[in-house]
Amino acid sequence: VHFDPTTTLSWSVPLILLGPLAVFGIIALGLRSRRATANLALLAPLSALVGVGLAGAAVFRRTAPYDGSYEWLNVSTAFTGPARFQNYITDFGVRVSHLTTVLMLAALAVSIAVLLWSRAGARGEPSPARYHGLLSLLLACTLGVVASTDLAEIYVFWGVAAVATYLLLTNSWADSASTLAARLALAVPAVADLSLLAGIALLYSRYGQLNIDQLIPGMAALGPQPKTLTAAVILILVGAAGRLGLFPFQGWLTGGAATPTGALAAAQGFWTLIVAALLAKVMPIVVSADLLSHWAPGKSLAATAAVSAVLLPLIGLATLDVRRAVTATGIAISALAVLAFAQPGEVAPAALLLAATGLARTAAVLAAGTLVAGMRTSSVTEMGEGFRRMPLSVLALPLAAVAMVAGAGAVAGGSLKWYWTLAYAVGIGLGVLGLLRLYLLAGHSLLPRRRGFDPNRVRSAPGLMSYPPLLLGALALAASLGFYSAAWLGFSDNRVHHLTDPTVDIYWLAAPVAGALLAVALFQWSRESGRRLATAAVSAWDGAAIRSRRAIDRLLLEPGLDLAERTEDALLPGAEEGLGRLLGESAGIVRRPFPLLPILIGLAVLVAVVAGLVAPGVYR
Amino acid sequence: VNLFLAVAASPTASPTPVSPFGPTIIHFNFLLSTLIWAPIVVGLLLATLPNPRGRFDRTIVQIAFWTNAGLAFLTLVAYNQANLFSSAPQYEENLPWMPALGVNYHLGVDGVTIPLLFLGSIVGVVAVLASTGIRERVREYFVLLLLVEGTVNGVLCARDMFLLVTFWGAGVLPVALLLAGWGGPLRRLAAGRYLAYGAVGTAALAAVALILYGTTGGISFDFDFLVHANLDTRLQVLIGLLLLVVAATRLPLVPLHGWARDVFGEATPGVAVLVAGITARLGGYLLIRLLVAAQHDGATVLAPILAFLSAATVLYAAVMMLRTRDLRRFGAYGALIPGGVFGLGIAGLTALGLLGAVLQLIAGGLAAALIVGATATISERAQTRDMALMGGLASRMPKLAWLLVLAGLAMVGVPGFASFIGEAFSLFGAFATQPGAVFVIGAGLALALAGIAITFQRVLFGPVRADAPGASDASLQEMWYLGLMVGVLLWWGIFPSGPKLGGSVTIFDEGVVNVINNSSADIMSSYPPAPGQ
Repeated sequence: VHFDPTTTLSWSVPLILLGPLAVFGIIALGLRSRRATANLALLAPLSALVGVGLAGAAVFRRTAPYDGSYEWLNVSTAFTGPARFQNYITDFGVRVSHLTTVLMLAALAVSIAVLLWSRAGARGEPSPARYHGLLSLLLACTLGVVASTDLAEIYVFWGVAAVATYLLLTNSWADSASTLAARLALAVPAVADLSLLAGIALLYSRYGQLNIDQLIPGMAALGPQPKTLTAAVILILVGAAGRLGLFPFQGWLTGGAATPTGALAAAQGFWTLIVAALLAKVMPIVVSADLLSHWAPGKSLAATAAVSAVLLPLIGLATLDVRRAVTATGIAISALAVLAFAQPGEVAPAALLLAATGLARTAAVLAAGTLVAGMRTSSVTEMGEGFRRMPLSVLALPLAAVAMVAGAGAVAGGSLKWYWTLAYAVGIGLGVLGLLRLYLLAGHSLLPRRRGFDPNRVRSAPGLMSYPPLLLGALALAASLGFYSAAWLGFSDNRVHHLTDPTVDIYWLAAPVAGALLAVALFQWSRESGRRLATAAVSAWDGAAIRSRRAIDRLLLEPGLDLAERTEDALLPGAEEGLGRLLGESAGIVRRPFPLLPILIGLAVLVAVVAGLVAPGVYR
Repeated sequence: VNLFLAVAASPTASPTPVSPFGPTIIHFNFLLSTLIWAPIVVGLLLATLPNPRGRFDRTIVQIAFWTNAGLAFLTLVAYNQANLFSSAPQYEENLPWMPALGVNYHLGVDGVTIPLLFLGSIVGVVAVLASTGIRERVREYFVLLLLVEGTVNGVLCARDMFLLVTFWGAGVLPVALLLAGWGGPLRRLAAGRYLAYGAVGTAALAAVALILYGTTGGISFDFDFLVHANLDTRLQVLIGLLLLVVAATRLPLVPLHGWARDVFGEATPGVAVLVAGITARLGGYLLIRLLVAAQHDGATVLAPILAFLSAATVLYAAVMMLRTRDLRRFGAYGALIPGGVFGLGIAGLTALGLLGAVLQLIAGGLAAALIVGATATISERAQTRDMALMGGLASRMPKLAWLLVLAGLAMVGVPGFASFIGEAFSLFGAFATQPGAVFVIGAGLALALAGIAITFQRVLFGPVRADAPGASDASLQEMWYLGLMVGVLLWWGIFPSGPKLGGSVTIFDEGVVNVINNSSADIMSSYPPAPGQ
């Protein structure tokens, strides 16, 4: 039977978004039991998988993407003035191309892995309906951003994803540490979201267009406006950096170790994919306007990514919380992928690299969550003997580490300037060091004895908690190894890609190998001093964080709040009272002897002044 | 049948929107008079009917409800069959009233007004549903409620300045009486404040009317005449300043917001919803009708001041939301935010900004009504308004908890709600001319979101307080009145241009954006393009 998937496009493309949204709606409208919501939530990625599979198969042999477009807003806003401002159009576009298909499949993999892991790992979470419903909503928003063709549409999905992420991270409302961390996850990226919105608004205010396909011709028609474009692109990139957790926005993710593991893993995986999609859509604008050759925004993007790539593994090394360490290191490796975006012509491979790091980060966080649950502690100093007691869970960590760094060197190639090369190498080396440190300590050191803790209870985690991170890590590794295939890179953007020289690849291999060797050496010969160093770094880092938070409170927040409160409680009532008393006393004039002449003169002066201000001719 | 035929016959894009419901229903030419006078007449009749020992209280509630429901139906039909391609007044009535003074009984609506009328009718129904718990002086309460609705419709439909000022001033007193007679312990203070600010606003509006009347030769109070008068820039600025006072006392905008905290904090849920939902929006409506649409030079000069006031309002409200420990005051400060965003859209002086401002007037009105209604109902149900005594309410009142969450999200304009479109249009439209204010308002919205998150954690999802008074979930009426507002916000948020079949054929209505669009574009078309356009 000949089956042509192109005949299904009319329903398979909307199904990609509507499936997860419908699941969210059904859960929100009243499904309550844990099993029912967990089962139904799995339907979200599976239904979307049918849509992505059919639509992806339809465009598999085509070079041109398929665009499904659904009208949302189409209004004429003015009848005069420049033509580009006479209409405002936002269509919900769903673009199915090779790149978006791969990114959507990655989102579905993250969703399935987190949902399967949560069936066992999130059994203790309060309100399973909320948890699973929000995971479905987050998936729908990720697919929406990946498939969108319009910046306003991207922001719609982005905004809903931001709210869903916050609600998901704060699912354990009764736990104050978790709630505090979630609040940080609301406040810090909100600045970045605002920046993204401002960037989109700035683009609209100049070009009157937010559809990405039409924006680039619109820019060409209007002539070069480098200042506007530079400002807009920087604002958008700040939005991307904030959600990816690049320095200095890392706090919302690294501080999220207290939040539910499934939620943290989903936040990292989905947001990495969302940012990959955003950058893949925005970078062509940068390239077409030749902005990469300027210091801003191309080099500022690269510099931010490079600083994050070097600094965040150090933060990861300076922490004992295994989820926090994994998160910080993961952000650093994703930063390397962002650095790859700064190379002209490498947009699609960089997006794929970022997506691969997203898969690996999710796998690593889930694996860390399994370790934390199995060893009943989040501190890596209290873990050990994991390789003997729960091998599958422990092995996911080095697998994720290899997956994270495997493709980075291939995408970086051999044409980078020395300082970027150095940042890459240090980032990769420190990343591997950080992740292998966790693996060696949790897997191969002695399990320390603790009060009220029976080491014999540390045993293999249930399959649902062990296999999802392992399989997701393997998938991430496969995706990363794809960067050594010209066909895979060519498939992503229908362009010819030349692979880097194998010698260069071998050079790049030196960085992770050095990191791994350093980790093994430190583990073998200086374990205790390493632990002491990490503990000291943690206390120093935490102290600095508390001091800076107090300084912000003392210098900015408290004065602002006090001023507002004083205005509301004293200044305004005082002004109202004064005005009232004035009116009362002015009414009392009629009871006293009436000073007719001065009042008349005063009134005459007042009338003359008003007439002078108002009447044309008198004033002039 | 028409819809079915349209779908069957026209699978491709239709050149003109199909209006499938309503066009043949209204044939009488006193629709707007009905909308204004029906609630007033019913109210006066109820006031004169005997009601010994409150025997007919339930009947009075039912009469008030069905009067509002009837008005809502009429408004819906009028909204649905309004001519989308005309910016001229529709359903017009024009009768001489005081010819010697040039005063006419002139009514009419356009694309800006008719969604506001629809909003007013929804808020009217919602206010009655929210007031079903009133047990004291029921007749007086609902009579005053109906009088307020009549005057609100009068302000919206008036095309004569004299008529407008009359309805405007007449609307202040019943609200003040509703505030003074029912509500929390500080209700008399709230009523006094509302009356004082209302008097200042009315005086300023009367001054505007007299200045316009006097400077145009004292011929007529008719809008169309006064609006097209070619006034000197300084006079326009003076009129604009007075209108800013009028709008700032009603919307309200900082620093003339003194009444809002007490009114939204002390009033009954029904009155709070009515004030936040529609009477406060009238300030913004006047700013569009009398400043932006008429005094173009004045609007241009005053735009930075309006942008500053709007930004200050949003930032101030957000900071106070973070600071307050009183749930009802939290809602009261939240209700200031839509007014601030509206002001930004106006201050942008671009076509998109104005469209966003009108949308924000409608969606923001509903969002403001929703947040004050939800906080008031939760405070009643939890038997306290002190957040320190609340905690873990979500487990005890799950329905109300989720309605409050939705109210908070709608207020800050999360995508999916109509308020998002209003906010996005206002921000996009104002970015070219008022970028600083856009950033401040954006920061204020982010701060407000943080305030909402902290409050929700404290009130709804935190640990249950052992010393908290008993709490119960929403009644059916409360679910209806809050759910109705959430539903409309989501409906307009998801289908702002009207839901379509096959991407082109309208299912039910034309959508709020399409209805507003023509009139707002017409108002803005005489402006020079904004810098950079």
